[in-house]
Amino acid sequence: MNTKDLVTITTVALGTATLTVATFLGNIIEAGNDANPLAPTIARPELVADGVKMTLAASAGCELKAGEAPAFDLQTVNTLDKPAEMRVRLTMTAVSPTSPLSRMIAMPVELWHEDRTITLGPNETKTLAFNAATNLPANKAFSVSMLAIDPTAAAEGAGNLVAGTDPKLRPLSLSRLGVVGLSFSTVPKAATPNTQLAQVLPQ
Amino acid sequence: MFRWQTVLGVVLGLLTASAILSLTGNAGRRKPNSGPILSECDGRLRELVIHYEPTAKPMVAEVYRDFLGALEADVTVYVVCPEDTVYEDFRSLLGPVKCRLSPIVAHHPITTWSRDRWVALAPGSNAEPTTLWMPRGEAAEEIWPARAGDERVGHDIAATLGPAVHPRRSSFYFDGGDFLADSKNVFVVPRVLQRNIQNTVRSRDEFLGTIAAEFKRNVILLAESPDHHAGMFMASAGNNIMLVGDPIWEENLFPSNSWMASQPKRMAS
Repeated sequence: MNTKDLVTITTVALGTATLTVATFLGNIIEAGNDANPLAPTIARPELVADGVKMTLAASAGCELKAGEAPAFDLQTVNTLDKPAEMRVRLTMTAVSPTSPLSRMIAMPVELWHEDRTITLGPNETKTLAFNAATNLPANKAFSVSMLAIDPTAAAEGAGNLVAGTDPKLRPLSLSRLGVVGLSFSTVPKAATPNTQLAQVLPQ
Repeated sequence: MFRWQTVLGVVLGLLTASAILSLTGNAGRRKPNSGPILSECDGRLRELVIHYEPTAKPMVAEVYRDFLGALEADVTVYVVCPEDTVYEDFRSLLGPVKCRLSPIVAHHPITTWSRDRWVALAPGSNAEPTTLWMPRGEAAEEIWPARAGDERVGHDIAATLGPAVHPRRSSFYFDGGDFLADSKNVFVVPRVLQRNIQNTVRSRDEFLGTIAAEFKRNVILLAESPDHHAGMFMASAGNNIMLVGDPIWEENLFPSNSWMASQPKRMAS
């Protein structure tokens, strides 16, 4: 082996090492950052109860904007080979933009709920329309949840699930937590929190 | 046909690259092993993180003076501030304290609320870092610049404290205050499940399994609770004792014509 051989070997080795490291090092460094891909969120939340799958969407032609009464379509699919009957509650809550000095988002307030008994034939799909009897206030964020409820439970009045209790003080109970099927907002996108605060205070 | 010098050079180059990549790969790719969620009632405080944001000064100044003034000299307090000048303002309002103060300058907006930005997981072993388990996102961040900044604080802390702290983004939405841990259990308020079910996770079982694996503690999902962070109504006191605030009990303690009885209730039992 002479000097020329050594130069050739060294040059090739350096070039190979550089190319290889450059190709793979970027991926390794990125793996150490907050770049591990998170699993995507569920695009179409569904509630499954007693073999019935339910999903929620705004009704066709409903724009979900301030001043208008919203309408929702609840699609139900009976996955069983036998008839199914169940009772479902849709609840719409609203929350105001958070005060900049607040630790957490404001407590949601229930605006509307409706119970409906659903009867489906074997493997039947049915879409039910719900019209919320309330106009959407401005500058709020809304959630519409689905909850399967005990068919034998007594019907409750609108707007207050526990009679005599201020909804703002009512404890949060797993038995009353539904699956949020739809979220939307009447908060202007370009607004800053302080602007919204001036518009909505006092609550 | 390649000359033997070329072949040898390629082989040596690949070996060299492998050695380099294995060294950097160990530092970058390997996820540190994390231990259990820190108990809120065991051991002494050694290090803690607070936020200071000037608009919150009227609200926090006296609290910080009282609290930090009571800490011993062996406690280190990291103060997350949006800018260097804000830290100077913080020092001036605080006065002399025994504990060690150290700034973490974020260079972006933040809120004054530190408790909810991440959950601390103990090191998996003596050689491992503390893990800051951060929520997937912050509520209202899309319209609130300071809250969007809060989402980055875990990384800001790790960037300053180096290998001793590792930030890890969770797939779940939560506030740090939604969890309350002692040495054996972690209590979880119902709204964490509500924020995640059929959003980031398909079922309650999947949610609880992930929480248990992450926190390495017995998970107790509260069936019902006030819609607040856990620490607003309960505090672990160790030895399987939990202090729970229940304003309804005050009715039994104070006469109906007393000042206390006349105050509005803030929480239903």
